[in-house]
Amino acid sequence: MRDKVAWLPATLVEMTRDLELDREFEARLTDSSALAIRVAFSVLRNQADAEDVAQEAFAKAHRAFAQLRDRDSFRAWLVRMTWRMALDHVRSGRRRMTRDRVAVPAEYGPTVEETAIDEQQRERLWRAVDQLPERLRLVIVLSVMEGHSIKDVATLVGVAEGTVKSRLFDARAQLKEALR
Amino acid sequence: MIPNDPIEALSRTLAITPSPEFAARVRQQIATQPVPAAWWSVRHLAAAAAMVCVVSVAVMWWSGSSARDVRPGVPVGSAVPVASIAPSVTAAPARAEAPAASPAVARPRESYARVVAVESVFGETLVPDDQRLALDRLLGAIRAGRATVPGVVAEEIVDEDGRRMPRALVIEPLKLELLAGTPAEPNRDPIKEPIK
Repeated sequence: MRDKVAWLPATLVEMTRDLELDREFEARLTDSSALAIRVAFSVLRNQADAEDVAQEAFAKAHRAFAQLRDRDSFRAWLVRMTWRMALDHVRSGRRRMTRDRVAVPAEYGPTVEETAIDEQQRERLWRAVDQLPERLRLVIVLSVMEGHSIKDVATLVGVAEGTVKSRLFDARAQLKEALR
Repeated sequence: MIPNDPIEALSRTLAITPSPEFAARVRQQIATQPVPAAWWSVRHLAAAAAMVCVVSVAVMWWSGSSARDVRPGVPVGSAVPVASIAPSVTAAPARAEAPAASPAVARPRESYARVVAVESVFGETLVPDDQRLALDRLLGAIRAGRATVPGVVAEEIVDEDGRRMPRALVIEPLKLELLAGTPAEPNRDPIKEPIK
């Protein structure tokens, strides 16, 4: 009996903590879904693949969520994890990805904004982005998303703001050079 | 056509939104993925493994140390110093008056080889040559593994420099004490070269 009395509150505390974690994770999922998918898309150029990779990243994040409860820490971890997983996805399945890209369903097609840019020119832009070193590529991709400030990008990448500034400068210069 | 600012073009290209079912897919995957082992069970396992290692090392070290207490380099229970034991042999008569414990005597160490700490309660008796020879044979048999004793205790003395020196060897009901001037090197083969 005494054992049961000791066991019951411990279980309740554990259950309460789990519920709280689930609620927090749900908030992070709503908050960071677009970020993760866009980071993956910047590597994969295909929304279906990007969502698959982001989904895997969220599943991993859920397993480690007790250590990632802070919003900034979570987003930074998610960005880096999604980026790495997207790169792995490209390396391991480039051929499949290319085929899928051809057979993209209508709902994953170009957005209204994208239609304003000619497909051929867009490919040229992405080729230029792909030629950037990884450290520059992630910084420039994050800087054009969701109105991120230099400070936001620095937090997400885990480097100093000065480093972000210099990388952005280099990335812009190299992009202009490649697109000239 | 690429606008003048490629950054702006990039920004437009990346302005995608998650599909409506994305969150549901994530929830479904999380619900179906196997629950990882509880962090505490993993830590407990690691701690238990580490504890086993530490205890094993400690036991090995301790047994080696205890063996050195008896005689350096000789395992307890299988070999016993002989030549270093000058023939000041204490036999076990009826319980005699216990000698006063010297404060300089180091506390005997125990080992897993059933070396037990005992206080000497026997008086000193010098034994004749035939008994000394018998004792040599006993010690030789112990060293060769042909005889076992319930417990062996090495008593030590700490000199002024803090060095631990052997003082006596207790094999119940015997206590073998070193006399002053006993050579440090033991006689390796007491049978062939008995102490003169």
